[in-house]
Amino acid sequence: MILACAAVVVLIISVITFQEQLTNLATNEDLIYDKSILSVMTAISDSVPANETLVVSTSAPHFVYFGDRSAVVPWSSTSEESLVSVMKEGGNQYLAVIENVSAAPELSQLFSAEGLGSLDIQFEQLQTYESDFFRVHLYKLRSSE
Amino acid sequence: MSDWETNDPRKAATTSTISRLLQRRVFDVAFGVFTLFLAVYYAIYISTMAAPIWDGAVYLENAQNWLTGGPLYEPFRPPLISWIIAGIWAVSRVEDWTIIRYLQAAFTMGAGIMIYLTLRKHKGGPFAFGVATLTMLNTQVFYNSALILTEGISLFFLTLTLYFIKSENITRMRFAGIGSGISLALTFAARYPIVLQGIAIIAVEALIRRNHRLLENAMVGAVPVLSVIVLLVLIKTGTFAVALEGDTDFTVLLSPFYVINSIAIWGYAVLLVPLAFLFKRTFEDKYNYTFVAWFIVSLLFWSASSTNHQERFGIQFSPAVYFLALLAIENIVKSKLIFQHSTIRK
Repeated sequence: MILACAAVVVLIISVITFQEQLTNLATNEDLIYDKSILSVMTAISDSVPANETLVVSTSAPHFVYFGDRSAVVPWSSTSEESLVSVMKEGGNQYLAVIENVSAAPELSQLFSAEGLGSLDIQFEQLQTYESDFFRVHLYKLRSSE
Repeated sequence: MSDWETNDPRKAATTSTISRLLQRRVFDVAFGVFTLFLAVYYAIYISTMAAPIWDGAVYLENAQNWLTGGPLYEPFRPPLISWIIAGIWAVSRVEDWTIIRYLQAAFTMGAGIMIYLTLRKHKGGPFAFGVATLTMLNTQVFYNSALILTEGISLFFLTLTLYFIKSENITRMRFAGIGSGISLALTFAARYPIVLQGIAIIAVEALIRRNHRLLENAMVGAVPVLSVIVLLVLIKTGTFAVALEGDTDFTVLLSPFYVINSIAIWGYAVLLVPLAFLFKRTFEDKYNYTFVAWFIVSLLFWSASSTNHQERFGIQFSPAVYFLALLAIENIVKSKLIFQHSTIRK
């Protein structure tokens, strides 16, 4: 009887902790709760020529669907130099960075608030957009000429 | 009320019938109320989401491409959710992603209903209520069903497969077999790897019933639907892949990920699962074999992946986990009752 009661208590605890566990899961995905992020992505997409592929720090599918354009994450890049190299090889000029968010782990430091300053040498910052939770920067690769 | 009225045998019989009906239906009503509250909770929770998750944006883009004839953004994604989205947009004539936010939750709640209906007949209302509500209140199930993903849709078709195959109506056995095959194929189209769980369910059920016709009828249902699914994707993309290359590496050195994270995935109820295997009663009722196989096959499959382990992969076999957890409690209670009974007889 004691064991049966203990088992039932375990089940009840499982149900009670549901809300707390749900809250813990949800806080890791702030982008989905940002009410203005999609309009920012759309505005960025509208700023870039339609025939250009936009290189993004993350959320490429969002730019593709909501921005109705081609967008890629530079998965193979591991540094600023390799990022520039990959962009030049692909003929891509525009880079959109959601500050402090990088899908490519090796570029996390580069796309952090502290690391973005180093982009100014090889990239021209065109515009900065603010959403509810994020700051998004649009860059263009400086011409080598 | 007069003595004559209270002593009227017809009135007493009616009252007794109503009372028995209510007692029998109390868990039906309770589950109905629970599902209603869950629907409202989902609606409130999902309405706060202003953007889809990464995969959700992919499925939306793929749906648009199915509709407009453009190339698929990610061809390796299972097609069913994108087909459903495209169908909704085609019927409503409005491409509104905010409606699609609620799609998965509807399927997940449908899965809860399937679980309840499947278990109610053989295991009783309380048991069915317990398994269904624990599954619906599993954090991974709820959270991932609130996103535009494939977890809830595949869970629905998997539990539909279970519902059909567990049918005990002899006259409708052929229909049940074919139904299980069709829902198995749709499970595949919803989320490719989950088909293995469906195959395990059907195979074990055919074995324990010693009914090869069940398997044959399942194939009759599954093969044509599977063929159509594969053909459509092939025609659209020129290729058919069920997974990314990196996700097809398997190893005999099973990962302990799902054991180590079992409480995080299924809650403290998972601690009861091993107890279910300690009782002879678990194996005396052949009805339980399907759930045992479902649990073991799923755990082994996901643990055998060498690279990709995620808590949400436990979603589709959560009903099996909670079935075994509640079976453990049932075994504890009934074993104790047997002991008490034999003591009294002495």
